Amino acid sequence: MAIRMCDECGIRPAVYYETNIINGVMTERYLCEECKKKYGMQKANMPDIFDSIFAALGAPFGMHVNAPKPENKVCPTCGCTAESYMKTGFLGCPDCYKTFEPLILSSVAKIQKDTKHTGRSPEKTLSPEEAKYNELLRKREEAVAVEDFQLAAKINEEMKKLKGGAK
Amino acid sequence: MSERTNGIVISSRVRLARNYDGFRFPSRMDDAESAKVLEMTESALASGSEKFGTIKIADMSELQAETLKELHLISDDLLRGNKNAAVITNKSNDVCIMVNEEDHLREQCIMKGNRLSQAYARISAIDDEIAACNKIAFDGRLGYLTACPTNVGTGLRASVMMFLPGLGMTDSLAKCVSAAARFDMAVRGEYGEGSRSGGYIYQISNSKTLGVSEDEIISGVASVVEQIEQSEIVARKALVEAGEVKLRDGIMRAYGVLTNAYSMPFDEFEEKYALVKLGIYYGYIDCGDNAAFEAMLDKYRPANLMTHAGKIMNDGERDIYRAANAAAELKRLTATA
Repeated sequence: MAIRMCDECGIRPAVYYETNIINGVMTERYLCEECKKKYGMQKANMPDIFDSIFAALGAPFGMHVNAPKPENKVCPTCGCTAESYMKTGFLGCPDCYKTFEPLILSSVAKIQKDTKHTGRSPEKTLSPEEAKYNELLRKREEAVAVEDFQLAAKINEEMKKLKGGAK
Repeated sequence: MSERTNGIVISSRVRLARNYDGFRFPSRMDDAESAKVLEMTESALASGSEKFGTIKIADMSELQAETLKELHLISDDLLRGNKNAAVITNKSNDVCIMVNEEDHLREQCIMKGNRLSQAYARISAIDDEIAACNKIAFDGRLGYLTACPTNVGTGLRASVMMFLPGLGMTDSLAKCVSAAARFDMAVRGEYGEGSRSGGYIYQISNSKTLGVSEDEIISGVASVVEQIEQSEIVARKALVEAGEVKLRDGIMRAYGVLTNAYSMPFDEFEEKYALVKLGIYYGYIDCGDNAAFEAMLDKYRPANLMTHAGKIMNDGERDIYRAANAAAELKRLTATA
């Protein structure tokens, strides 16, 4: 029988099952011990057979069937261990990503269904035009918030001009 | 501007999870480190043109903390955070940065209505200010590094709060939840996973933060929101077709109770308020000031109510205060058609 992983974190085995009815719609969730503490509603009737499987597997690593076997590494920067990550789902510091790389990549692939960042980076610095545009955007939001639509329209014009000039 | 009139999209929020390079994550850091993280953030923001104020959780009254939590400005994790857990906000409260929560920074921008891309532009500019002064933990492959890998990559969570009584009453939400899941989006109760939603308020947000760009996340959530909005309009039509007399009677009874009750617990207020809001949509009730009506829901939440009233009250006192004030306000803002 395949082990059901936690619906919330996706990296630890589920040991709780819960149902919730919101406005007549039933939703069901499988949660691990940690996520149950964080998000759970009630302890539910997970079939006994699951308990015995978990008991037989013992250590959390055993449950993580497809993950590479973690070595007994300790992060030199923060002291976090692979075991504590497996248990809590949390890392201790940015360096942990290097220390436990194979293990983390395996759980990231599971949670995110991807392992490559395609978004922006912190190095990107704003040009003076972009900074000015953002400043105007903020002022326009403030004007809208106080319902000064005349001012908002004026700022809008300035923003359009800036965008046109930047091209 | 359909969102202004149909009231389906309540608010838009964009949150960026960020950490400083060379510092342990908040759950493992000592007081000196967390104090430094707070100081670095404050000084980066001080170099910008906008004014921000910091409140440490430790210095907050219980009422103040609960008031901010009800408004979704701070989280339980921040309240349980370390000695230097703090919230930094601007004057209008649309930008709110949680410091020393699960990550060093949770930078958020919340705007009323359907304005995800504006909210992203706004918080992104603030993120740039912070990153210009401090080295952010970033990896070429995995992107922004976060305490939990569920946020790694962009660190971006875009969420939209929606009012969906049509889908709720026609039992069609389950379909929405599974359709949204196919696009890596989640539909949750108002206060996150598992929270109840007696007022038919739901949160739509991206589940995936890695392998998609910021713009793809924002436009992805926006298009799912648009689909749900269209479905909600269809469901509202279906409700009328299924029996307008019963529907209208239910709405008007809720209005009657809200404008006449002597004691009104919040749960009941939320349910009746949802019906009255639907009544305004159908034109059964006229509302002279939609913005003021929209603001009522948060205003009568338990902690916000006491903050507005300027005094601490017990449950019973609050319910009486809520009934009287909400009735007076509703009578002032609305008239039956």
